[in-house]
Amino acid sequence: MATVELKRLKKVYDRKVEAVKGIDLMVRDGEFLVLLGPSGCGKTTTMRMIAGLEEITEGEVLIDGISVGELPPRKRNVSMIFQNYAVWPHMTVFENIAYALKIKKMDKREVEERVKEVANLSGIESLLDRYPDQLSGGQQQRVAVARAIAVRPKVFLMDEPLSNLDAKLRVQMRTDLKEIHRSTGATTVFVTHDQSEAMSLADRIVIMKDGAIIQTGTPDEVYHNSVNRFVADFIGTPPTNFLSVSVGEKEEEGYRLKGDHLDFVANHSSLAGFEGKEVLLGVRPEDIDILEEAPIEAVCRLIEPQGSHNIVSAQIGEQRMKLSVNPDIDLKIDQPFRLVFKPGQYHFFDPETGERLDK
Amino acid sequence: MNLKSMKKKANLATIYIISVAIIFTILIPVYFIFSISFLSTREAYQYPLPLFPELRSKIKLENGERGVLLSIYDKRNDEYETLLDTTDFKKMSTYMRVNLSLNYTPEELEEKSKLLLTQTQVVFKAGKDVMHNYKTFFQVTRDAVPALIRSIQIAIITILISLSIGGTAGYTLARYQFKGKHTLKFSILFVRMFPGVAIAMPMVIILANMGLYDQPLGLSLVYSIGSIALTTWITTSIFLGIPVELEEAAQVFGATKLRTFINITLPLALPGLAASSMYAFLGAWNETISALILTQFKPTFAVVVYQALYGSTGQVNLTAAGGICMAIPTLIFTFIIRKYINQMWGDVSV
Ligand SMILES: Nc1ncnc2c1ncn2[C@@H]1O[C@H](COP(=O)(O)OP(=O)(O)OP(=O)(O)O)[C@@H](O)[C@H]1O
Ligand SMILES: [Mg+2]
Repeated sequence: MATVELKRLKKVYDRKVEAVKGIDLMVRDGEFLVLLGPSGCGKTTTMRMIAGLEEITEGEVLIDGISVGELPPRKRNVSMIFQNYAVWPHMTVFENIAYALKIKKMDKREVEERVKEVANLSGIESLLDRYPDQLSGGQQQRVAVARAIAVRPKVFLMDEPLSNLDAKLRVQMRTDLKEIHRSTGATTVFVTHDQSEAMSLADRIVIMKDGAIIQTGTPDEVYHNSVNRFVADFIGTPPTNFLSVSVGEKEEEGYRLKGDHLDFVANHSSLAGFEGKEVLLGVRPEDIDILEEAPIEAVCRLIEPQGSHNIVSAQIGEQRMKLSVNPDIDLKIDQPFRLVFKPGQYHFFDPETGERLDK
Repeated sequence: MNLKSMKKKANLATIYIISVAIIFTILIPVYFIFSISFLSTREAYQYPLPLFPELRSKIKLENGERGVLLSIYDKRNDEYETLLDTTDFKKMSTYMRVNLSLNYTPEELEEKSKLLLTQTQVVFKAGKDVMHNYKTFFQVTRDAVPALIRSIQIAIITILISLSIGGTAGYTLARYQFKGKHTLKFSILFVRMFPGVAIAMPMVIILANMGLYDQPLGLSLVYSIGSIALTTWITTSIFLGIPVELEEAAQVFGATKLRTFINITLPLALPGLAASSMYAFLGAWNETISALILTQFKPTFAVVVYQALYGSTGQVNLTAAGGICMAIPTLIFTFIIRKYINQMWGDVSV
């Protein structure tokens, strides 16, 4: 099995576009690592440099501790799943999967066995004689997956492999990919801009923005301990709510926070030094409780039922926020109610830099 | 019936009429040359031209003033047309072969005319030698068979040159970014703006200096000039239509660049390459003017056919036979290549 290490990895296109700005990253053996970030942040570029499809401007890529910068793709022992599948249209499914094995001069019977094995794993054993244009998008994607696992690579690279599938299939393929990862145990780098995909698949998530890594951590860490406003806003549906509050003097139980229709006390040591200043309070939709005698007054503006829970848009003064609410709680549109942020479940962010205060 | 469906029908009718007109304008000349190639010389110079070649002729022999009188039955006027009055059966035999496409030896004719001793006339149906023009064409024209072989050589060399150079250029233009790419791509078409004759004149000197004047290779080079440009354009769009990921996938899965090209790019580009080679073939095969200028003792088949029309042998029916002979390799080539042109893969298209 294998590790992948990026050292000061940098990519400059056409001498001016800095797509990747010198990132450091260690992908552990057998790990499912997800590169997550908005469009154009350099995810694909990073992945292509690992695969050897893009020249490295500066820095190093190490696979199993060996620098592979000078090696062509075929010598890196990686396999890749492309966003648009890239299955070869002039080859049958069998030929597609067997191609890499034939190049390796594998024994004919062995090839057949291997193809059958991975076809079973990807659920396409009945399609082996078909050509790609006789397959649905989802089936083509499975062929791409089967082709990638057939070579038993050191490292799997997947560039938004699910983004061309419809919503339902995407969720199903997610489960299947995770299943396959569990059974193969291969080190995997998965690129996506869909945070829910990242959350459900990843052992660790790497959040990128403008060619730089913003945060690396388990899904739980990036969700509950987002390092800055960007991450807190990017992760989660609906994302973190941000309220602008001003910090008062320290009282017995903590700092008094005041804002538009807001007045409550929070015991957060990170607020030290911010007395008299404005900060951003970030709270996740599910970290808000509705209680009779809660300190904050709000008005219900919109209810979006999700089955298991309701998403409620609440108005506090001029500011809006979203709550994830148990459907049993009876709320009506334009009805006032009272809410409270669960203690210890909300964070403060510097309004200028966006950094979290209690890092 | 409402107005909409009537309009639809009217449109359909128009399309049918136009297609039928197109088919006729293409088919009628083809039919004519095909039919003429089977006419005897006598038929070929009748007016109006017969639509169908006669397969058998009714011949009458009589005692004439000088010798035996040869007549042929003319269906249109419903009477016998007298052709010859001679005692020389050798002459008669030659006349029948050349003008009527009938093969009778002087001995056979003499045998038949012996019957005239007992009867006033001898009438017999003679089976026409339908392939007569084709045989004659290859007999009388200056080395038609070597010319045919030369033409095939030239076509093949032209295809090879233009596919290898034009195809490589097309691949480069499609896959690599470099300065002046669009200017280059456009300027390639420049070559085609000059008429073949204009290029052929200076080419005589250049080829002569290279020792390639009156050589198949020399002509192939001249024809390649035009078809490289066309091939470059066709293959550029073909290669652009092949997603780069398909090649990248092959490289990730263990293929070298060369292997990727052979296993992935080439098969996917095949329809376009086939279409290009079709163009190259037609350009080289049918071209007459440059060939006329650039050859002397080793003409191409097109030149031979041309000379059959204008040279000493000038007969329409022979030329027609030559023309048909010239079309046959084209048809065979088209038939072979058709399979590849139609072989499109999924979203990779011409
Ligand atoms: N071949 C190229 N030439 C010049 N600039 C490029 C090239 N490829 C990518 N870029 C630029 O590099 C930056 C990063 O691109 P990249 O494709 O890595 O983004 P991404 O994170 O994969 O985005 P997406 O989620 O949209 O796929 C972008 O600003 C893009 O415009
Ligand atoms: Mg991308």
